[in-house]
Amino acid sequence: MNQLTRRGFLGLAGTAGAAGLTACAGTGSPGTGGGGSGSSNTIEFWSNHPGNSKTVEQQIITAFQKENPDLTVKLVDAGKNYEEVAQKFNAALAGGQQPDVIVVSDVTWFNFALNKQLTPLDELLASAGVDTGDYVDALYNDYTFDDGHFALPYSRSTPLFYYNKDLWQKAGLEDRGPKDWDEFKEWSEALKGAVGSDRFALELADGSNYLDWYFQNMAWGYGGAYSQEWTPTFSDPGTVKAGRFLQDLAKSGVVKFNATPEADFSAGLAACILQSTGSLGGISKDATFEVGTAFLPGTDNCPTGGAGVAVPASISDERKANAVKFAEFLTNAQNTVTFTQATGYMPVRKSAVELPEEVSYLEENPNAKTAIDQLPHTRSQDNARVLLPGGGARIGKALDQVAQGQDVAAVFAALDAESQQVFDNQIKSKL
Amino acid sequence: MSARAHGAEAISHRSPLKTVAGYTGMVLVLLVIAVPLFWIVITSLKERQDIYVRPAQWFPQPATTANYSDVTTRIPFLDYMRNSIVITGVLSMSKIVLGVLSAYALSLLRFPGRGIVFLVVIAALMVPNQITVISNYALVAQLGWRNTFQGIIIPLAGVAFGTFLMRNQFLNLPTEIIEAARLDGAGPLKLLWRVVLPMSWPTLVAFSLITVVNEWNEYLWPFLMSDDERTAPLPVGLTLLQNNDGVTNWGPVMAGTVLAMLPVLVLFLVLQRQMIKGLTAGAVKS
Amino acid sequence: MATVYFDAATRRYAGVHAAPAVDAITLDIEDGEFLVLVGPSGCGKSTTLRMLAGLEPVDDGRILVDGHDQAGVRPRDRDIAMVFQSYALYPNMTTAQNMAFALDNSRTPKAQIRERVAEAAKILELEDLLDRKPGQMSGGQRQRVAMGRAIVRQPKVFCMDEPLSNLDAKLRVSTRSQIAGLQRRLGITTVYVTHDQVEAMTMGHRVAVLRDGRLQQVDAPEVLYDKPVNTFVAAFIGSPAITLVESAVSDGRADLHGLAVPVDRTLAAAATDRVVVGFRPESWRIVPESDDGALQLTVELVEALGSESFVYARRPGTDGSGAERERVTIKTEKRAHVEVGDVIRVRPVESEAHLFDAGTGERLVG
Repeated sequence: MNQLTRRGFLGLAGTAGAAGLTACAGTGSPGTGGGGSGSSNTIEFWSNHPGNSKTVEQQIITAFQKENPDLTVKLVDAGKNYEEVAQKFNAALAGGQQPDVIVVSDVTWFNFALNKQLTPLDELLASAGVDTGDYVDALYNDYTFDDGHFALPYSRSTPLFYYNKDLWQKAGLEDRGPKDWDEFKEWSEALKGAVGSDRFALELADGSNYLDWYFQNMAWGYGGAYSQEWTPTFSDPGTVKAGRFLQDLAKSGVVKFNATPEADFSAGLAACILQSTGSLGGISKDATFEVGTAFLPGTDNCPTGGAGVAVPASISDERKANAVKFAEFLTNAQNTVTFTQATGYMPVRKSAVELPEEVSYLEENPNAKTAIDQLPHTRSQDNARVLLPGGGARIGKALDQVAQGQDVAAVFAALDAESQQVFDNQIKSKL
Repeated sequence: MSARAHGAEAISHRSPLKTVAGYTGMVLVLLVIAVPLFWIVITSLKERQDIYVRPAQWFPQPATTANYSDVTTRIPFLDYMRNSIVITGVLSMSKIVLGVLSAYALSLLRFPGRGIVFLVVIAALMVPNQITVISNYALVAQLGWRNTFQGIIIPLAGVAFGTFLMRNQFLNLPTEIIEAARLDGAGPLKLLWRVVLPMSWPTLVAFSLITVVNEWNEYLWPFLMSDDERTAPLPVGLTLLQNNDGVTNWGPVMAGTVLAMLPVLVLFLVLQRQMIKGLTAGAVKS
Repeated sequence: MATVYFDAATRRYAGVHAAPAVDAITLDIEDGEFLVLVGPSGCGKSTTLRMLAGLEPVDDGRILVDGHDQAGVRPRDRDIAMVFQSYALYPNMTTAQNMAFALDNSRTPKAQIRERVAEAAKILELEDLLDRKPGQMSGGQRQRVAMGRAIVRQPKVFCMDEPLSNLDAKLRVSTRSQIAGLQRRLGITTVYVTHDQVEAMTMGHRVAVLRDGRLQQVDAPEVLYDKPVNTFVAAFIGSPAITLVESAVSDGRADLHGLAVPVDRTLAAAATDRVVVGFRPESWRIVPESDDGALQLTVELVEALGSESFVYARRPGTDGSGAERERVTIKTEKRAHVEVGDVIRVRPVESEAHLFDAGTGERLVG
């Protein structure tokens, strides 16, 4: 029930899916069984309502139905996080009655695409007359595989550098984020003094809560990466250096790893954190001090993240067309503004920032603007994390070991070998 | 020297020492169980900014019931509660009834193939739930039972555990009492109801309690089957209070947890008294 | 009230023993009779009883109750009540409910149930215990409830499976006579299983002795004692046991440790060349030192019971095959002062000799 089990569910879903497919208990062909049923003018939208967005999703659906009176959209509570949505979709793939539109995260979409369970959207979008050029390129191209796009960006986020302005002032620092991690290191002593004993200059999510996502920024910052295309590069000197840097921060008591750093930060227990843009609303509401946001340390090395919406491959063409229609509506300039203002995610359309309500919103909320300004400086994530099955969990676990003081080179070398093996066994033949 | 003195003291004060150790142990266990519960309750009464503070607040200041009204307004809490009660009630009843009846047949009635049937039941117990989930899903989806109560309930009504547990209980009853009842003209159902079950009361209550708690907390299958508040039970519904990708406000989550705990807690208190009432003493010579 | 007839009834347990647990028992029990089944443990007496109650199947042969074959008749339809060794009371029911259970099941009218329970309670002095549950009662009280549960039913047959073996010695003696008296009063055919030959001798109209699933002898207790059909019955019935000595017969005399015992010629002729001679403890007399022809024995053990004593003595030395000679049990008057280590001389009362064929163990009958 807590966040620690997020990863467990994904593994479970994979195992169960595999077992179910191999031993399909005489229930007929899973693909056709699922695709055939389901009404063609009802669109089932499976969402985990990212950022507590159920109300706003329903609101967009109502607007859609008004525009398309012949279509109905059924909003389904498909899980409490992205992994659960993937799990539920996995069950549906084996068992039939598939949804029309489904939320897929940066780490869940690829496996479905690889197994041809999601439909490539390019042709459908073209025939629906959608200008894909208006999607923020970095976000749209995250879903590229085999010359096709498999999802539309929806609840997209990047990490942000959140800092406590009061403590910053107390430490005598300029009101900005650090240029790079080395500068942060220089600041850390002053921050430790300002935040007080028993509290921390920096808090990071632990390996079970997406440390692997945030750490990508550090690895890139020191010239390393998780992988180049499909070749794992954890043993690259830059990556190892970043690992050692993280370990040093931990050893010198600068950083604390925690399941919910945003909560500690809001309570004033940490001077700064790396956290998703999606947390902006909650942190602003909880914090009793002035919250500052900044780009992640370094230049052009902020990973993207979050989720998009995709369409299953085995539903009928008619349903696919309706599904794309809805997916496009959900992510059009107007609705991405509605959605992101309610949740704190980032607008996925270039034209969105020009809409008057967004302009005024960003004026009032400079912190929200940070994320949008950072967007051109983002970088697509490394395959070893998002495309290799189990990648995020694998790296997260290794980073936990690094944080606990194990030898960085050895841990990363093992990670290299493991990632390569997963690629050879599960991906290579399907490319 | 000192060891000897210590030993002598230990012997002379043995029982007070033991008593103190016993009570210390009990207090420790109580704390281990009670503190998290206490924390859930007080967190549910705290205002949002008071939840994460250092030093921790052991008593909410000021206390607020806002979280509770939040739970009932932000999500259709009563719908989830109703679904939970329906699902748990029907499932527990059918599991208990099927478990008792099948265990009774497999332990005390004679019919051909009894051993084989029991083996099949035990084999069913060995298959992990996660494996059957997919084939069950396929079956239920084809029947068009997704997002229905029967779709959630029927696949879960399998009773291998209850059969196993109750069968062992029945086999441990003194055979002579069963024979006496047969000679006294008790038919199969009367034998079960008047003789076998009253002697198995503690086991049955424990089994029922385990079943109810399990069903009440059942997550995976109802989550896969249900689409919205028409059928989703509380554990699934309460996750809507948690933020998927951002900051969770734990106050309402804890308030929802407290509310979800209450019915089971009440049931437990009622049944616990029943558990003590059961007796087999004096049935046969000891 | 009913007659019971075992017609070569047989019970085999699959694979456990090669020999049947109950081997072709034929036994005719009269209406109102109190029959005791007795034998050492494992002799099949309980199985026999359970076959009658329908708790064990009959593999061969038949069991008739009132002339009706009971094959395929369910236990609950046989109208047989059973008292178990463990009492098997229903722990969740009070005394009254325990007794009423069977009547309840047979849909007896409530008023009649109350009446019969009250009557049984009166007979068994259970009136003050009607609202107690078994857990709150002593062993003796539970035993009486078990009896009460059987008698309220007014069944055709009572089956009792060692109902007294869990009582202490004193209670056992008094309950023994109570049960016998009750049975006589109610006149219900009763089959009573025990391993205790004193119970067998004192309670039954007739006693059936079983050994290894086979019926040895059915007779009135005194006949069993006086005319046992074989050495097994002779040794099993009577306490202390009979002294049996195997001996060659020559010239009309059996040799009993050197003492010549005259044997009826016709009896001797029926035997092979060797016989077993038996004398019960009361058939021995201690004779004066001067009686040279008497048997000389060394006393090994004396059991003084107050009114009488039993002396266990043995003739020193070994017999032809090198084994010790059989111990002789002698009943003496209380006045006879015999101590361990004494050497005494004894003679049997020749007319009270029991003679058995040494080969078959059968009694030699003229």
